[in-house]
Amino acid sequence: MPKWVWHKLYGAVGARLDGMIEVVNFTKRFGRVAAVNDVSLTVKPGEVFGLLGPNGAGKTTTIRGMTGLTRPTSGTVRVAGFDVWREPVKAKGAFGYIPDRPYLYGKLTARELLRFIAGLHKLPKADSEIERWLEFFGLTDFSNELIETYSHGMKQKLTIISAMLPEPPVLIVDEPMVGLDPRAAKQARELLSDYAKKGKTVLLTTHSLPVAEAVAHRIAVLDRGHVLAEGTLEELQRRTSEERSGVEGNTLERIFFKLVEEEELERQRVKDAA
Amino acid sequence: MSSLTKVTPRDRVYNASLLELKWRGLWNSVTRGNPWAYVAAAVFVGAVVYGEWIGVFRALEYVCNAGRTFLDAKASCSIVGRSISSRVLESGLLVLAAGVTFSAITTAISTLYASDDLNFLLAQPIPAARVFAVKLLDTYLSAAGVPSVLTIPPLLAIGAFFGAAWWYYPLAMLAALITYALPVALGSSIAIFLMRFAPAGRVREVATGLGVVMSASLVYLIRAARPEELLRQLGQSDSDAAINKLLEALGAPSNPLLPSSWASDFIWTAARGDLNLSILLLTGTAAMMMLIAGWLASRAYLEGWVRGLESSRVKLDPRPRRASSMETALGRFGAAGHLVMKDARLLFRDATQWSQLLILVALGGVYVVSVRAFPIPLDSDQSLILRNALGFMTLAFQGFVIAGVGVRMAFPSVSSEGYGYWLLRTSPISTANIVLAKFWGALPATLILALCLGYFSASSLNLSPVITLSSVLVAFSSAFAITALGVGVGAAVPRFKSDNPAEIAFSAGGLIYMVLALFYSGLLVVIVARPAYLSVINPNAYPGLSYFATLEGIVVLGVLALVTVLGTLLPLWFGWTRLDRFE
Repeated sequence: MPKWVWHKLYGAVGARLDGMIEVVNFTKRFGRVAAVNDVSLTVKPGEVFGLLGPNGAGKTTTIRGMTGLTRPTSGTVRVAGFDVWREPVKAKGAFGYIPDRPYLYGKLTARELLRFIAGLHKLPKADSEIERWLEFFGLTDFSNELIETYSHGMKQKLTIISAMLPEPPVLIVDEPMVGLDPRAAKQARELLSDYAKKGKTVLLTTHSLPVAEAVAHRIAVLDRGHVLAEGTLEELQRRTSEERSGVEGNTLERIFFKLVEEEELERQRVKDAA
Repeated sequence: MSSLTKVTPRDRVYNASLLELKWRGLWNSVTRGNPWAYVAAAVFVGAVVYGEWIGVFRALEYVCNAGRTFLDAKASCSIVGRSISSRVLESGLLVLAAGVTFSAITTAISTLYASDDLNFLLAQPIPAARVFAVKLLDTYLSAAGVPSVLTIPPLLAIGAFFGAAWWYYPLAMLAALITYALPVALGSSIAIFLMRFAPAGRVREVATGLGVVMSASLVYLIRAARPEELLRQLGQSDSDAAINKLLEALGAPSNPLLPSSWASDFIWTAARGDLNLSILLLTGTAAMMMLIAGWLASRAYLEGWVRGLESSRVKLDPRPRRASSMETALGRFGAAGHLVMKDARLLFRDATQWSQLLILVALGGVYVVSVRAFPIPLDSDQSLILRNALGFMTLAFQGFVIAGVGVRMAFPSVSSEGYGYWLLRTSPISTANIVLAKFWGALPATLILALCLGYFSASSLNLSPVITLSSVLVAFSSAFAITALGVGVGAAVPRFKSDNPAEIAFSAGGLIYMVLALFYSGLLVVIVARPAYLSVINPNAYPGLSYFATLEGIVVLGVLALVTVLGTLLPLWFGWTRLDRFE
């Protein structure tokens, strides 16, 4: 189905959807270990949703579940109303994915890669859009060079372009600022905010609390595969008003430490009782 | 103070062993893998080993008995049987060692200089020579692992057949392993030299150029076995003088300067209880080659690696470049067409990929030279049966050649996406489309090769119309089904995280593919055996292609068509179903 037809259909169907991303009771086990346990999330159109958590919390596994890179042990994941595992092609036509490690085809040039992406998404007349994006990220001079000659940051910029070129209704981003210089990081932050303002949906994971604070409308904190808390910054502040861990004020950093510390204390209490 | 610095058992100092590191990684991946997959692999490998064992054992029995028609039983087994079998083993070792030689340079460059873990290893406080030694072992396993595994069962069967002493078994295996280690050491030495001195940014291209030279050498080495000499003398075996000449020709090594001859010579004498000194020549040469490789590594390995990292060149050219006419044309086939175009670009830009096309040329060359070398007079009526019998035999050999090309071009096609597979996996293209695109991308090379081989066999041997048509149909069927088998099995057991691309073709999956492809070739031969037999035994019964107008002929064509369709679709379906489940 051509992309423009899909967008027309999406325009009719998407407007009725409550959540552009719907994660329902998502569990992923590796053997006996549950990397993610019974996680449920809903991200609405026009929203930037931040997924925070310490290392090993299950953020990347959750994202991999949303993008079809890992199959849920139980539960469902829907993007734009399409089950990622039952209707994978339709679901994947509805999101763009920016991974934390930008592995791309080293023997293609940037233009060739972007034309390939345009072909996969059946985008009509993509050339002018490709030129615009290359110019936006300052890659025009290098656009006919093989990607293997690019720096890590240049590859990351190209990955961002690859995800945004088809203008998908949903953008799923894993650690967006890794490898970007301060100027490109600022551009990326603004890009994500502007994207949501157009009515699109953005879900991002990040370790950078200032980034999440700056762009995310709602935030979920994940630890050891569980959602500890979810809400707007104000809602999380209300829930964790007490000062903890020597971090003062109503910053996201304090909220984060408070939630993780509470969880740690609860786990210790259960262990002691046992 | 001394008590403070004393190392207690609790403060144990770990000695970093790179071999142990490799072993630990292998052990961890094995112990965490799917146990059912290991059971299936063990059953499969067991079947291959058993098949090889029985095949070699029966072949030895047959050769001994066949000789009894013109010599006494005892002598035939000890002289003719031994001589023919010795020549066959020598040729087998020669072909496999030549194959290892062919891929050794590109494998060595991939393993020694392009492995992902080198950034880590060469940044550690350990001598580069130790890293080189481990990578040399990796090169051996990648380039010579499968030939080594395939050689061991026949050696055991030979020992059992002749009732060899216990020491035969370890020494025969050592001889075979050293035969394959020599080209690996040679290829690694050349790789070190190239990486140190080849023009920056052109190292792989220069190595590939050397691959062309090696492929020419491969053709020469196969020719050195002189199979036509054997046939010619068999044709003249109506006198004692001819028999003696034949035995003399069979008994002498075909090329006494090649390590495969030394190994074969040692194995045959050892199987009968005599310790031949050629093992010392073999071991000494191997030790010398290893020393040379080690010396070169100590001088140039680290420098070459650093040079390889610095060899990229950038020419800035911001001008927009639009899609080529081929890209536009393939784009009309949708996402799969774009994938085929992308793969074609990568194939012709990556020396490790396009060098595989040279294997295709080399194998085709070996085939052409071998068919031409058979000394059959084309203008003689008496040669009709022999020519058609030979033409029938080449049908089976075609499948072997196509399988050899497929293991390097079709089998790795999905795995070659590597770490970049996420891009396809998260794009709106189904796994069925991915697998089909890979199939259509690989098919032109195998189909052109197969049809060329089929046509060449028919025209050079002046075959009967029935065998000519069978040859073309078998070529067509082999190309479709064996390519599909390669892509399908490769998609079912992808290796996206290989440290180097050379590992992909020489994996357990590659071995499974080869065996299945050879099985399919055998099946095709069985299907066309009846028309070929009638064509050879009674060529006047069905003139021209009239056999295929009979009910039996139509059934044969129908079965061939059905097997081709199923042999193509089933592996592709299996491949995309398994790839869909891949995480």
